[in-house]
Amino acid sequence: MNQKKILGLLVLLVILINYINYFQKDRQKLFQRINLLQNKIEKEKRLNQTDVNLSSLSISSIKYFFDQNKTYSQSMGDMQEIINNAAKGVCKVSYVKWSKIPISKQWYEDLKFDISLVCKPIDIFKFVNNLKKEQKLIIFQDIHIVKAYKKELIQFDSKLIGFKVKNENK
Amino acid sequence: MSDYYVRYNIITVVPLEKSVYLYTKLPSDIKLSKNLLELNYASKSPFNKTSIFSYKKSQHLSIWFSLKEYYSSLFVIPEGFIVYFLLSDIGDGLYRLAFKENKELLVYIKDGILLVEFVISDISQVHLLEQQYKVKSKEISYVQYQDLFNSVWSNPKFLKELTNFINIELSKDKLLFFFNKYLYYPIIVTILLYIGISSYQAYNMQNTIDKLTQTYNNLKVKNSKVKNAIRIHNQDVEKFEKFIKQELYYQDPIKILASLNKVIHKGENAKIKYLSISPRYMKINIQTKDDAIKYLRRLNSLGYFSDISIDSTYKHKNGEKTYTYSLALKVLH
Repeated sequence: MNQKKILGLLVLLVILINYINYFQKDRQKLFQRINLLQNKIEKEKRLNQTDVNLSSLSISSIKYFFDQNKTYSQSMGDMQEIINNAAKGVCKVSYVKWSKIPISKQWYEDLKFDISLVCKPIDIFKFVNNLKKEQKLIIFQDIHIVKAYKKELIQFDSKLIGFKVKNENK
Repeated sequence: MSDYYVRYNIITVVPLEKSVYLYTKLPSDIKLSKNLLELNYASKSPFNKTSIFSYKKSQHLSIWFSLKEYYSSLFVIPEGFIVYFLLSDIGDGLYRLAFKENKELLVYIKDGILLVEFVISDISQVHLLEQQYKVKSKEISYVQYQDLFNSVWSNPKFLKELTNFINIELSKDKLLFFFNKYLYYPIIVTILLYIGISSYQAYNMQNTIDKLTQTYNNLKVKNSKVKNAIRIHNQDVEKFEKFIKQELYYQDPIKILASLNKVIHKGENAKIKYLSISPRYMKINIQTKDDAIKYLRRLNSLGYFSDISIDSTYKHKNGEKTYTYSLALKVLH
């Protein structure tokens, strides 16, 4: 056996081992990367081909909230106006109390009113329907109904809660 | 057929002029291993490096020494044996065989045993042997020999005899020879090919990744507006879902209020004296002459309450009673 041949083979083996240890790229990883990129591209292409109406993505629920550009007291004033308008010709608003200014860490603020209405039982529902026409989300909480002094009338006490988007700039 | 065997290194034929024949008679019909054969007869070889081939028939041992060692084939067979096999079919006798142009072989077979086989250097050697064995030599021409030689490869009897010349012994020299001749260059080529192909493949894959990344980035830029809108939409949805869970988790008290006409029907002698609805509880006082259970069942059938109890019953002078019901409201979320 030629010594030079053995030497040549050994050198080649050293090159092979070093190549495998230090220079050879992990083809499995490259293959996985290609697969991942192909999947991502496929998704992007599908999205690109889909005719997306951007305006359909904006949520319209915000219109049920009171104007974020107004202050708390301005919004409370707006809400009280809505309540008064809803009660006009239907119930007598005998008592209204604003709640304290809320300190909320959330993106919205509560607009709370304690109100007391005196009216016929059926008129409560008229009042509720009138409130709904304003298209603002106002919910009732802690309802108390007792008979009023006047015959056939009831006293309707409740908390009315509306919501205002908090103005982050203020 | 012989070409095929030789080409694919199945059989190597040791040429007549590159081997020397020795006949010997054993004291008894013993079995001879390759090592035993080399131990006893290697010294009788006229060559330094030699391969020994033997053929034994009872006590008669035929040995061929080759000019060099043979490793490469599965079967290494001396041409001298092939000649012996061919001539023993013809019969005993002294043969002059023109095995090549201008070259003759002298073969003597007696009782089916090969006694003499050598290349003639001088015609007097033929006369000497004729006198020694008292026989007349038979001549076989070069053409006749070629025909016989070519036909032997399809002879099943001959193929069976090949097992005597099987050459699968492993030795260091043989392995080195094999490695040098058959493995060295294939290993080098395989290693170089492996490095080359894997590098080329990795280079191509990296190129593909670069192209795909470029395409992906372009698409991402194109879709960024839509994706941003979707992200904001999802944030809004999440925000409103959280809002609904926090603020609208209880039953709508107005709905409950509206459903009370199913508890006290028109024309029934019953009145609601007091009603209070908080997010979790409801309290209602009903004044009637009827049974308390009747209204309890009706309240239950509304589906807003998880539990109902009658807290108290107050009896009026006119015989009516006021029942106080406490009701636990179901939570929506």
